[in-house]
Amino acid sequence: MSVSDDLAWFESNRKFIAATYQGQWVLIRDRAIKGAYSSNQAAMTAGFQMFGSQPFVVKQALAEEPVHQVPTA
Amino acid sequence: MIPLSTRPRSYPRLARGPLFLGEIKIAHHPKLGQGVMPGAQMDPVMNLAVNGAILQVQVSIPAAYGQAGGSGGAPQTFTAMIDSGASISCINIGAAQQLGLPQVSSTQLGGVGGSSEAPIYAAALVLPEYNVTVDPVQIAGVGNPLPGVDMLIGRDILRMLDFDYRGSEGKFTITQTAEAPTTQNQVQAAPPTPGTVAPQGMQPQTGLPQPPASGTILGMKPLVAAGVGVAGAGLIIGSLFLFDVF
Repeated sequence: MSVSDDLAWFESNRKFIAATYQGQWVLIRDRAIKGAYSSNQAAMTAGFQMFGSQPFVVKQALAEEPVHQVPTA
Repeated sequence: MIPLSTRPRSYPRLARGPLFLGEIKIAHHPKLGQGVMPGAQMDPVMNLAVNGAILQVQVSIPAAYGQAGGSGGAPQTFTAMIDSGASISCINIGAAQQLGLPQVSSTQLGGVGGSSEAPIYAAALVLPEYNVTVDPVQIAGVGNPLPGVDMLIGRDILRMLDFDYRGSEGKFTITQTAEAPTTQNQVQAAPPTPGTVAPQGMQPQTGLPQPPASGTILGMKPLVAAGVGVAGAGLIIGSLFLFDVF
């Protein structure tokens, strides 16, 4: 399963995930939630420990994707 | 009208166009906002005002990724700018790929030209001039942050640091905050707060709430749904016989 597959899975289940995990950072692999953490750093560290160099996804469980502002980019 | 005496006289390059408002200098320099200029030609105050807070950042794959068997290119040093107007830090996408940074997410970036989707990479950053290490950290890949600048350090990283900008002195400093979860100046993963689910060992967790799988009926797995369907049909047919319909 690729990062893009897991990102698409997150998007299609965003509503459920946001309601269930409420702002936590979720670790996703193979279209399943593997953990929920208080920071993206904690989620990434857990992902590397669990899956090594295999791909995984870290997303914040929010009902809508925030648009990050990068005025100079 | 601002008296001419308030205008500094040591910046002949700026004499044609800048608007000076007392001590606040809005320098309409022809290259302002277009990237980094050679700072050696300016004194520190103007260098900081024109170029911004520029620093060198060493970027590499996260330590945990390397320890887990992940491989990437050798750490590289890039020119970065502190950008408190950016809510997320950015790196040139080509540099990220060359370093072998693992992609862990994607997000929407909004700027002057509208919004677009950008990959999010995991990285380790070292600010050698300030003895600061942040590992791991998420960083967005963009086409080109600014001419002459490979990275933008945004508020997502600044929230873990103290950024002291002294414009009148032409300098800035970055320090690790005492409150941040640090070990020897390294920002490490914060422990999960009570109520969150934390991994135990190396194995993926089980029993976490999962969204209903696609293709299910009312959240039931296909085999269960088929069984329920057959049982329902049997009940209906049985009822028809019971009431002598046939």
